[in-house]
Amino acid sequence: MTKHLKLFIGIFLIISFQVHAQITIKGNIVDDQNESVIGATIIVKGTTIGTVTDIRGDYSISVPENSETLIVSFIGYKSKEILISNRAIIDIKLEIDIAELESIVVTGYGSQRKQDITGAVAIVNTNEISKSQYTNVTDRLQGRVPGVSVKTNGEPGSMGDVTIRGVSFFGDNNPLYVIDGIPTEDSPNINPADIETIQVLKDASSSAIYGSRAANGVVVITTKKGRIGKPTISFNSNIGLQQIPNKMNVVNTSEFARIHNAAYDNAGYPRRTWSNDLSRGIDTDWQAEIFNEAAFLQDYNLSISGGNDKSKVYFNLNNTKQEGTIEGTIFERLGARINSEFDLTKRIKIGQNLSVSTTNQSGQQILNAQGVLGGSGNGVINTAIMMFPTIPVYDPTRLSGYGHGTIEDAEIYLYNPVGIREMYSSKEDHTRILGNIFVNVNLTSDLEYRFNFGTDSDFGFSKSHQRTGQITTELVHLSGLSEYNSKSTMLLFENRLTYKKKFGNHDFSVMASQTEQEFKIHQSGISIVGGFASANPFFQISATTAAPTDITTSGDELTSTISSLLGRFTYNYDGKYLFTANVRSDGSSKFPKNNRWGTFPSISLGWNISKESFFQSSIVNDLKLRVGYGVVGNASIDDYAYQSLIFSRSIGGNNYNLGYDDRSIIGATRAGIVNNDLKWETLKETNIGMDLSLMDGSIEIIGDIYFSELEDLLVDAPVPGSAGEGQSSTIINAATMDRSGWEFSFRYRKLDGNLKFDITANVFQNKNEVTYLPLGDLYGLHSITSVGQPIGQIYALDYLGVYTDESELGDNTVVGQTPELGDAKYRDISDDGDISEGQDRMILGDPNPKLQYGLNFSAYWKDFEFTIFFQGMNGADAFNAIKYNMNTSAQTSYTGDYDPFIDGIGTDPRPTADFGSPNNIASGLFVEDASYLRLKNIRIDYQIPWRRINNLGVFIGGQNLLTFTKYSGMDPEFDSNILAPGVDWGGFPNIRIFNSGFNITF
Amino acid sequence: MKILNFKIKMICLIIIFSSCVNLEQINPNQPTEDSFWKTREDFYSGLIGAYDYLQSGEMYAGQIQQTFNLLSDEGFTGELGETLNLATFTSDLDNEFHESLWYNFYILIARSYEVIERGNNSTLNGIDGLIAEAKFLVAFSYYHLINVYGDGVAYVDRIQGANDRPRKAESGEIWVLIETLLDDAIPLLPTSYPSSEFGRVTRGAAQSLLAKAYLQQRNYISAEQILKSIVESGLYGLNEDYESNFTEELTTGNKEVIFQVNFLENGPQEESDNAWYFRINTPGPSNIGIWADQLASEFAIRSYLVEADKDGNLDPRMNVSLFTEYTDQTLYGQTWAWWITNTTEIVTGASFYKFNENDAVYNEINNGSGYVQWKNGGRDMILIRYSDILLLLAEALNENGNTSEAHSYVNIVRNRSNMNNLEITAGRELNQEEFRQQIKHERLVELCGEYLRFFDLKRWGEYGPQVAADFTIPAVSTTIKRDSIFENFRVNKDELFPIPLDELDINPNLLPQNPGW
Repeated sequence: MTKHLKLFIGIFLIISFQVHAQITIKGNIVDDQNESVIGATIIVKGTTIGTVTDIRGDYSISVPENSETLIVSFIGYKSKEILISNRAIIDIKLEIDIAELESIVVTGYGSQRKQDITGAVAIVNTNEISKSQYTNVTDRLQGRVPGVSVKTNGEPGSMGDVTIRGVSFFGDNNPLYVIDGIPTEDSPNINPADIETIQVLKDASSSAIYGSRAANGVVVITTKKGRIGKPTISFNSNIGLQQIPNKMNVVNTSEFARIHNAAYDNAGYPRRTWSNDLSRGIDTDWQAEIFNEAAFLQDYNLSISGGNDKSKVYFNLNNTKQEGTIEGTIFERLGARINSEFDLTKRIKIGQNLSVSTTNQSGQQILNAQGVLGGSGNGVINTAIMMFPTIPVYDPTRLSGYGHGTIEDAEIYLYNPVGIREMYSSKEDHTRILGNIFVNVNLTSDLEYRFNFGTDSDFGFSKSHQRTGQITTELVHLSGLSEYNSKSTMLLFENRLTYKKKFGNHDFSVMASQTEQEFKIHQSGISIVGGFASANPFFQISATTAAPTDITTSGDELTSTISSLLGRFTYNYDGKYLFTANVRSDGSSKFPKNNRWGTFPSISLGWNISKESFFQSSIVNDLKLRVGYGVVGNASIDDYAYQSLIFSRSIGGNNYNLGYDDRSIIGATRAGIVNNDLKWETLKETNIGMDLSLMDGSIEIIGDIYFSELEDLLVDAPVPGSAGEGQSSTIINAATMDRSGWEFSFRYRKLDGNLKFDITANVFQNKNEVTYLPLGDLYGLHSITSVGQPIGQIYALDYLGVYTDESELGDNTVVGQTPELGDAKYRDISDDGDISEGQDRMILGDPNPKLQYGLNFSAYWKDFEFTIFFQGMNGADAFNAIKYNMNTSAQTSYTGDYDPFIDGIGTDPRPTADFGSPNNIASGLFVEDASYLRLKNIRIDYQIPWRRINNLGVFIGGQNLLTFTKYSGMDPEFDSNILAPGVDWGGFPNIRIFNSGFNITF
Repeated sequence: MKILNFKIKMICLIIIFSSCVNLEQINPNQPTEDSFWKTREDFYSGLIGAYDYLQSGEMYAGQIQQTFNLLSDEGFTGELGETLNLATFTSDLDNEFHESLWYNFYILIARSYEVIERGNNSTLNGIDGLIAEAKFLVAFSYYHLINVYGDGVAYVDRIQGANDRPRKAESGEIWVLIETLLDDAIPLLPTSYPSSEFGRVTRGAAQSLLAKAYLQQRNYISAEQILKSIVESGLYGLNEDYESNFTEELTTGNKEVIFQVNFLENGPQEESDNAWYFRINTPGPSNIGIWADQLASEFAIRSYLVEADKDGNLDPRMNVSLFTEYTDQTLYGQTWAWWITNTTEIVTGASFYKFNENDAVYNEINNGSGYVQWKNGGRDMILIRYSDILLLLAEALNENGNTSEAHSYVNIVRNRSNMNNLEITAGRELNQEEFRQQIKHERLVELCGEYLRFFDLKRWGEYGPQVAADFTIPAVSTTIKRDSIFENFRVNKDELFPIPLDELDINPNLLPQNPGW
């Protein structure tokens, strides 16, 4: 019925167009330098009738007889309305719009003109970030947006951590990503080549439209749409070679043996034979064994874009394959996207966006393999750094043929890293479907209705296994297999009404929307220990001979829902006085009934001073002041977190055996204590900003300062033993924090003449300070979080050098120890004459950068384009835990810069194989300045002037070519956890890439 | 206009259609507290979950016996650190043994109140007995807590949430709670269970606990009354063989058991007495050392030498209770003489032998590997034994002035182990004060190593430095200190454990801390 009726309406409308008389208008469009503008859009005002200019800048359009006005627009130029006035030929000259004040910016549930924005919304330059070689969009944002920090790494397929305005929560600090109007729960692993625009909603006044999920900021991504005109086909190819920029500086065999022997001598233990006698001639460079010096990176995109005045289609096929610089790690993505829009009738538009992609990641097991010390995701790398050089890679006399230590020869319990790579195997596959369909209906000329239905689904499978064998001292590891299946689906429904009206100088809009999301996860896994003989090549669940007790299974289903009502009101008077108010009310199934709904309001004001009549300046084109305030939420809690569960298990669980024949009966008890009063974490933020445009828009300056209060932060709090759960804890909304900071960006453009420039720079500072913790300090590894400080200050003994004079030896010594010359000296904070970790640790560093910055310089000359991009940060401290571990233990190798006190020479504490030695305590000796400046990207593009096809470009480039830092670890960007953000346990270092490619467009 | 109307209708339809997500999402993976407790089976499972906690390592799989034995004049330790501190009254505030009892008995209380409170709010039939069993477990927990931490423990009489901060109980209040719970429970409990349910709380168990509660308050009148009713019920009796209470799997055939903890022979660690090495000396990993968490005191050993049996032989109960130079049994296949030659740890003389897992480990130790294969023993553990009840009845009768009648109950216990009637040994009937002293001896030799001595010392008002007084053994004519460790006893401090410091931090309602801490 519906279908028929709509078809009928469609036919009716088409017929009704046909009966109007048509006239044809032709013309040519040029820019202010009289060069043809190719691809400019010409639309008859008030209709969807339109066309685009061809390669000579010419156009031809048939318009209804009664048409009055044409609108001509092209990106980078000011839109122009032209009265037709019965002309048949209309030539038009467009003016460059450097500041792009008229450009439309998607800000979530609608869009605004750039000049009307009143919050702290950063518009990412997607052309600049397309020069990056990172395979995901989040890493490409690094250094591009003031206020946005990204920690990147070199693991194929991994996405860096993104934080906006610093780490503000003890749980989740990831921003919300909204892709084509679909809020997604995790990082957007979509093909970066599909991205048209990215906006970052940084402050609470702009992000409040996303309410309960906005406190970490919102990244709004829009993918490419078809363009009106003849179909264009473009193909991009990009091939790169990757390598580790620098290896960790470690000792060779002779230097190792000198220190290692001294360590055993100092402890009074017999020397280990392979260090005492170097006649075997082994000097293994373990890092060279695992790093691939020329790992391939390939990235191909084929896209087709086209459309006419009624329909537009964009299609893309992408293949990315990245070999890791650790042999055995691979990431591959194969994806397709189709985005289309159709004008069904004059008033009804329908459209869809759909991306289907599969990703495969191999070798994570190599990176996570057991048998290494601490950290996460860095197994084989840390092992290769720390392994003794006296051990050969392969040793046919050993059980599995791999070199490893023994207690007498070389006492080390790390796994042979080559053995890990060859014995451990893993893969993880995902298929993701992300898309939506929408219907836009212009109910009246001012009132628009939009219905949006979207989904984000992921189907995952991972598998890892290892062969049995021996690759370390004493231990024979078992074979094993684990498999894991997951399916997650999200459904989104959205209804939206937008009303826009202008009376004279009063311009206002109202948007109201109702939206819902449902998230479902199903997962199941199996893990088998043993049961696969070395000779058995069948690593399949069905092939195991393991006993049932060595097989563990898991699985569950999770559902969560969000229901929301939201609205926005904007008003501006004559473009001078701007007002925006947002409010969103979210109900979430994650919270108990009483706290289920939260309301998040915001208001912001803008004043375009430059539009005032009293403001007369030939230099300043645009000056706008902005001020905003908003309240937004965050919820780093699991599904069902408020629900108290019943634990019920048989043998080995909470069962009890009754009767003299010991009949096992299943018991049931409360499964831990939960807080049934959980609620949102909230951020209240005031943002003051200024947008300034000078010299015809060639200089643009944006500055923001902000002050925020974070309340009801979720932290673990102990529960009294009288509640009957032992010494347990539960999360409560209790901690508070303040944050403040400033952001500044600058852009200079010179777009005329033969030599053009585009220079952008940004710099920002963020400061978070804990103001209340319900139960005192929180501790992380070598870190403390206390009131009055940012999260995770580095906390250890203060190192004062080594004892070099007999007369000092009596000073503050570590409890129970008698120091000798060459031993470490520490500061006695408690001033009680003794040194102990309990009494004498102090804050030795702040892992939060003082300043973060990025600088992009682009120059255009004839058909050449040259781009160089620097990124860096200043004033962050790090505790080099890799170095600490190496230089305070006789069961790992040593760093190359370690200069221990041996025979009266050396500035670092003397080595000892005695674990309890005071020289082995964590101290300021390992705290370093992790500031860095990186040459992130450099690229030269050349457009070959070959006219038979529309466009042929070639380029060469590089990524992470140079890093300036004093930090001695592998990479000043390292993985860490929230309570110990400054502790460097290694990770997959950023990689250097040399690449070249071409793009061709027909 | 018609079209517009139609469109508006369509939109309304879509809006209504899409408003379908449910904000009330219940975890589908496990029952929730709200979805559970609907059937009698749910309550039965809940009760089983409470019983389950009795068999945990921190409770009767080892730590409780160790704690109470070390606190008394029966036991000592060969270990260092917090174990030694506990045994020698040199503990600091954070001794784990002090903290463990608090946390673990409140877990048992919490699991029991789940059954009681949900049951009280339920209309199900046939769960009254289950609730009564849970009430016993609460009373049982409080009985231990009050003896250790004193009157001022956290007053918990319902299910606790994360934000509950219970008040400090007032003086005597916990005793009232214990009595009320047991008075409620007794009429609803069965006197026995079918053999397949053996191990659950009976009426006799609840009566016994109530009697113990009265006795600790020195309410001998009420205690006598209820103890008598247990004895006169005819449900219980003494086994002919004293040893069978400690070396065999307990069955319904054993009339001496009133309440016990069931362990599973060679079962998973969580269901066997996995911490069995706490109980007695046990060989260490390589046959060269032994665990010496609990050693028997010199006083305990010598007490068995005070009186020979009818035939002039060693009190037969010693061979079951202790492993000493005086006894002739073997531990893991080796005699006392072998152990004393080959190990260094048996220094003070003896370890406890009751509840040993001799046979379970013995076969493993000799498997030729040179290493002991650790094995999870499954010996059931009696918590309330009929001979304890007989001796308590005798004690109550004596305190109530019925000394003559009291003799007969002591004699029942003595006769079972081939000991003469008290009157024959002494040559006459004892007077009240003599009997009072004699009962202390009788309880030691009968119940040695069964962790009851601490409660006895408290009841008798002896828990203090006087335990260190001289003790003369007539048979060997030597005088020793009864337990010299009690010289360390810090008066006005060691009478009670401190409330765990973390608990006071979280719940200041429990201030003030116990005296001296």
